[in-house]
Amino acid sequence: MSAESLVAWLRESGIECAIEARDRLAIITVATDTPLLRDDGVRREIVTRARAAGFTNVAVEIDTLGGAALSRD
Amino acid sequence: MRSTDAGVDDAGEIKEQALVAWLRAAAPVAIGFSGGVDSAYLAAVAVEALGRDRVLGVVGRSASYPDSQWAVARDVAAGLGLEVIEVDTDELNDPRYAANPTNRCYYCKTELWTRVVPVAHSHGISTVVDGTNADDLGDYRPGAAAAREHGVQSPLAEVGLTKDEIRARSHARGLPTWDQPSAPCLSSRIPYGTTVTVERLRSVERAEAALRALGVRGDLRVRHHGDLARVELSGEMLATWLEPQAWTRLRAAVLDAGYTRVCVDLRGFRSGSLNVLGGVTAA
Repeated sequence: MSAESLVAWLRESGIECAIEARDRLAIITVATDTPLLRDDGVRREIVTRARAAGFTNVAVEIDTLGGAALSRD
Repeated sequence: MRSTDAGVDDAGEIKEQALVAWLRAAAPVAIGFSGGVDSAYLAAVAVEALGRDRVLGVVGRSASYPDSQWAVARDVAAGLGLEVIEVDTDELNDPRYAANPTNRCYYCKTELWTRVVPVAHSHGISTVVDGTNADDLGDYRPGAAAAREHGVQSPLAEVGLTKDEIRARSHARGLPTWDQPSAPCLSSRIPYGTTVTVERLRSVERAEAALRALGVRGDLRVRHHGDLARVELSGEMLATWLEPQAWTRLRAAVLDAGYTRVCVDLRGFRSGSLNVLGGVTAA
């Protein structure tokens, strides 16, 4: 699994985030509302990129209060 | 009760006739009844074809299903005029089940049929059937082996009725279950290899109930990843629940259920997504 390549692509795409890998689950944590994540095409692209990075599942956590995965980046 | 809806597919109707013939040849029958789409349809056809006194529904009550399931099952049975008997099952006390191996369903169904089949026999019924359909035969379903070992038959699958056909035929019959989402057991929310406990099952149950109360419709699963709940929603609902205000409510509901972190799966609901994560089936 290559979380680094996925997080790099997400940041280039304008999604500031951290990624936590739990086995083959990628958890994308964003600290603010990210309208791009409400775009069907963007979500599909993220899923495709995550699979290419070796993940079978990808999920997003909106941690507006802080203290979740972002602090581990 | 049966409508003349022009949308009824001919293939499904032909298969239903085969199902009626199958049931008449095997009667009386006991049905492993959950009140879900498949067993409700099977019970409806059986009651119509055989009469109420030649059909018995047996509900296996388990901690791995939400309590709300039993109320639904009772209501559906009452609507069908189906006599039901409820028996308690206790698969969680089987360490082979609780260890949550990839063939967990085998141990659950072994427990279920070990309890249900004797009930049928005690009522003078030798034919015990379940709601397995033709689509199920292509899935990874270790529970099917337990059914076979206990002599349980699957007439829906035998006559080739698919899930879509069962939904269409249920709609034509006016059954309330025709568009009911699938409702697999709560243990399916816990990754293989993670011990199934009553506490974990209840956390999942509370979280899903809270999300339903918030207004989440359609497919919904709360997947248990320790402190983290991964919520799977219908694809068309994702954007709505990723809006800030909606997300805040969703997150609070799941945290109140006992989790410390919440995430939403970006692909949305996928049946058997933990099978994929566990490497049991392909992504």
